[in-house]
Amino acid sequence: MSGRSPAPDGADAALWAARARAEGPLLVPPGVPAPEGFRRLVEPGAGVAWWVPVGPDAVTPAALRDLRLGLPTLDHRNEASRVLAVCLRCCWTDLAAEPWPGREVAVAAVLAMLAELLPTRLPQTHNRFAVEAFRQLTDSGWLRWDERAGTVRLGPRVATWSAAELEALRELCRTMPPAPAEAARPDTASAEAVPAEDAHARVASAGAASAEAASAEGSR
Amino acid sequence: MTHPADDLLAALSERQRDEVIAAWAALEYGREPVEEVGFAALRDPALRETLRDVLHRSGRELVRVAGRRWTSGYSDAARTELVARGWGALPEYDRAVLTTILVHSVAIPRSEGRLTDDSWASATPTTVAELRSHTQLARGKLNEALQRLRTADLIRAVRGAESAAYVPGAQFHRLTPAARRLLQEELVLAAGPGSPLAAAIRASRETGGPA
Repeated sequence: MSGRSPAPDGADAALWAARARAEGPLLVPPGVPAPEGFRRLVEPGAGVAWWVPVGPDAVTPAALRDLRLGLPTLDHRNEASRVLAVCLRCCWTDLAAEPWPGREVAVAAVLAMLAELLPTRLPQTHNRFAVEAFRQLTDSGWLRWDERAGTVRLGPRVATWSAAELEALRELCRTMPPAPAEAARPDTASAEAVPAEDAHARVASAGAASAEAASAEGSR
Repeated sequence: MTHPADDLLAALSERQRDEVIAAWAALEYGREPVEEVGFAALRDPALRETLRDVLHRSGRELVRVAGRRWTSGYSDAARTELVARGWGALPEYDRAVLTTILVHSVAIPRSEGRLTDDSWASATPTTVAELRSHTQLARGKLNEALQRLRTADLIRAVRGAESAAYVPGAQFHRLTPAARRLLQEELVLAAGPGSPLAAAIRASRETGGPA
């Protein structure tokens, strides 16, 4: 993912696409129209926008499953998928709308939900895997982790999920523990936790797995 | 939302369009090269040219791997521009670690005649101990660089050795013939700058011709 801003220097759509292939979604000034092949997302209140690359006919890495091709793998893929699922649950406040941009949440809230999903695991183990996953998922544009502020929010790549993928993810979120702000409400506090394997299997196919494919050639 | 290849796709029948999109997804998102036989847009020469044109619109090229397997990579024009603008470059540590692996796993075996083709597939792993001694990176920095390179499929862990060891990853299939040649030359210049081959490469570059 790039922190630099593209200069208006005559680069064409093909070059921007190649750059996004190498760096992931591109951070740009908000007023610049995106080239063909990109979706433009304006960060609320931040004075910047993202150019997120989109495939022809909006095809996503989920197509690999239909083609019976191997999905890309991450280090500790299940851990990364679980962390992404929990962040999605915490940040995606209005399930009727699209997940991006969602809200920012404290890392502590994410760790608390992870502990709820896997109560037998030690807090320091949760913390170690979560930090590694935050780093991987931030590098590939699925999350934005502010290490100093101790907060996390959804990255621009989540805006590339197709309608079918979003529907599966909505369903996943409904089966997970309530997000922190809702947790205080007695009517939702007793919601059952989804089995962890279920959570990562579904997110892996829709999200974390495609993180790597979309950022392949990995020159970030 | 438009795509720079929309006009090319609009000229196809619905079935042809689906075939081209399926092959595009397999090439661009798939981890490994795919077999030609599995994709009509790779088998059919006319559709394959359309697929190549669609890839060009986003700075990509259709790349043939040994036999009848295909993948995609940066087009030579896009690669040259990205490098010239400093876009998409790996962090310095990652480059150092990757170069060490390429020297150990590819350049040295090739100079000893143990690796004969021009691919970057290698059966000679580079151990973490070798990486630590050659890059002089602290363990934490080295591990972070290795994780990024693994995630990007630029390297692949090999099991069975006493300690962790790595060979170049699937991304090296994506190099075009020109990119493979350039990387080969750079490795010769890095590993044997005083060799006659390095002198020949330098002389050729000064005159602007191929090595």
